[in-house]
Amino acid sequence: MSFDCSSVLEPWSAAQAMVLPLFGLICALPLAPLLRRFYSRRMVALMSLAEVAAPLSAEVPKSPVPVLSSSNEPSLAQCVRQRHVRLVRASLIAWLCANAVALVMVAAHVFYGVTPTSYLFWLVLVCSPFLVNLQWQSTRRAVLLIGIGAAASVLQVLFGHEDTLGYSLSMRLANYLVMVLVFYLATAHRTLRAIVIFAGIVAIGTVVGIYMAVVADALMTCLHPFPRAGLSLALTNMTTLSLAVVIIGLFAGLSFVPLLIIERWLRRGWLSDTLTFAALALTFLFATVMGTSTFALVPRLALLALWLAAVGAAYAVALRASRWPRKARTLLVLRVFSRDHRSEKALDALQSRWQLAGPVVQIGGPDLMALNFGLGQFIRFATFRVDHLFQATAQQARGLFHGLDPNPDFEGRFRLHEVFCTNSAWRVAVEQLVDRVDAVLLDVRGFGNHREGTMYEVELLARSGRLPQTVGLFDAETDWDCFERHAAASGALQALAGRIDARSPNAIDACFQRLLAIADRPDTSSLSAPASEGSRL
Amino acid sequence: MADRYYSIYADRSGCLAMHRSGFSWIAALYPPLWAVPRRLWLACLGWLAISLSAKALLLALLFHLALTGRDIFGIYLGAILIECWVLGRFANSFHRWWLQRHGYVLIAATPPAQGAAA
Repeated sequence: MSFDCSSVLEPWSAAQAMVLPLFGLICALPLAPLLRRFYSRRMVALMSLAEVAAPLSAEVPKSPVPVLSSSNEPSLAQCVRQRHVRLVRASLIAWLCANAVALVMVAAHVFYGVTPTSYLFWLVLVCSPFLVNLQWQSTRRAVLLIGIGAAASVLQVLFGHEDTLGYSLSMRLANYLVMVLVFYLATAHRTLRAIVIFAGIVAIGTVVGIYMAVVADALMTCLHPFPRAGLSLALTNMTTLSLAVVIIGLFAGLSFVPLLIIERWLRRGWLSDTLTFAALALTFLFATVMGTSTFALVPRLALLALWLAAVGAAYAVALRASRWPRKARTLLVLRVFSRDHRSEKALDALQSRWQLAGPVVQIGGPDLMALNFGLGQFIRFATFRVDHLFQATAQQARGLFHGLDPNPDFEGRFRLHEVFCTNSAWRVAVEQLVDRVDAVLLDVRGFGNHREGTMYEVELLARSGRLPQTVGLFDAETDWDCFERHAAASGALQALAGRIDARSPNAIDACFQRLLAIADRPDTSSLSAPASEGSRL
Repeated sequence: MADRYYSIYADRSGCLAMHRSGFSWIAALYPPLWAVPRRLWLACLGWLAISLSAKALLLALLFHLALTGRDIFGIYLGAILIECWVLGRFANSFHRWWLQRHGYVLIAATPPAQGAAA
């Protein structure tokens, strides 16, 4: 059998290589829900662990130096507004930069077959990462975004350039719709995007591994023409398969290296979860667009890097150009663990908004696990390192607050600290948190005699004199008699700072404003309080 | 097959490592995908070197024996299945040994009742 050895090491075509990230994301889609389920079940299993021994040392982790709040800062509500405007401005400038570079490349004939409709399609897709960066998220908005993407796909198919691959109309439409769906899931879908990105990167490593396995097999065939060195067909297949398993596993394993780097950057605050999704989505999108370029692989990669660098630089410069008010307050969210999606969404909306006012701390539970699901969190879990994520013993929980970063990331958004605890550690963790926050949101929807955990938290708040800094969110099922009984049994008579009915249409706004007012009082204790010259901003 | 349950180990600096005991399918099928996330880089390289050289050695040995192609195939397949089983069975035990050797101690585990039932 003749075999052309020169073709063995032929690399992928430039267009194939550029579409690889998108292909990786598509491969990751079916895995994402399974991995999310796996994560939730394992975290619940970890929360049921019992302490068997104290850690070796009583070493208390060093607290990151908090930024200081200067006295002449505006009110907390004004700070939140200023930070929001700063993020919107920077995102808009980055979006304009992305489009300006795209237009320059179109004018320079870097791409072939660009039509007004294909440009419109690109414009719709490229909006998604920037909107995600602004946390522009709700079901209605997601439907709107997908709807516009689908409409742009139809326009692109009907009025775009002729497909050189000879696909039918429906096939082309399906291609575009899949692209819209992939970008939605990888950037905007709250509970899946972290896993899609994680699994996408592992899938890319696996695909590269498959390619290398094919090359290795072809190389072996080339060196020892078939049947190889007298091996039987079955044995040849067996050796090929075992070698392929080694190579694919190796490349899939190596894909964890970039994931570990991303996790470290997230932990240090050089990246935020939101920015990571936006940046990775832009990378995938730009790489896919570069697939339509007429250039060879290396110039394409150079252009891709330049494009990303230009957008990143524009974003960073725009952020630096606006002042970031150095004032922050910490919010503690205590709640009745619920399985009701509506209550999850209310809490999610509140904590997302508070991240511009200061850090949010809460005890992790099965109810908000999916919504709070972060890329860094999942990478830590998948790499079997659960520090910064888990309080395993009461002794560790005593030093809990020192391990929580009070500073914002480089964009000026504060962290959401979801503290997972074992059965032995959660009470100590709550005690540590209650003493050191500026405002407390107590979600007592569904509260009653059967909620022992929340009863303990109510008693603790009353005992530590924190009820006047606490806003209660209630519904029809809340048993206020039970609440009063437990609050009174713990000592001095105190009242909640506010009770907000979660059924009212503007409950979230009212709750947010009330919490801002409480946290902004000069007499609030605390801890938060950012600023310092050495901060990341 | 051993019971599967989770435990948490801590070292002196406060690092927490999660450990899962029992048979590992990922280690049986794709050992690097099991080892790299646990940061067992040397173990991964060691497995790679040992596995590839052992397979090459086995093939060389089998060809020097007067065996039919079918027999060679059967022995080779058996060797691969045994390798998969050994890796799957002992990978998590190796991880526990590695943690203990690097100064990690067990601080949280599945309560005895659950552990027995798992």
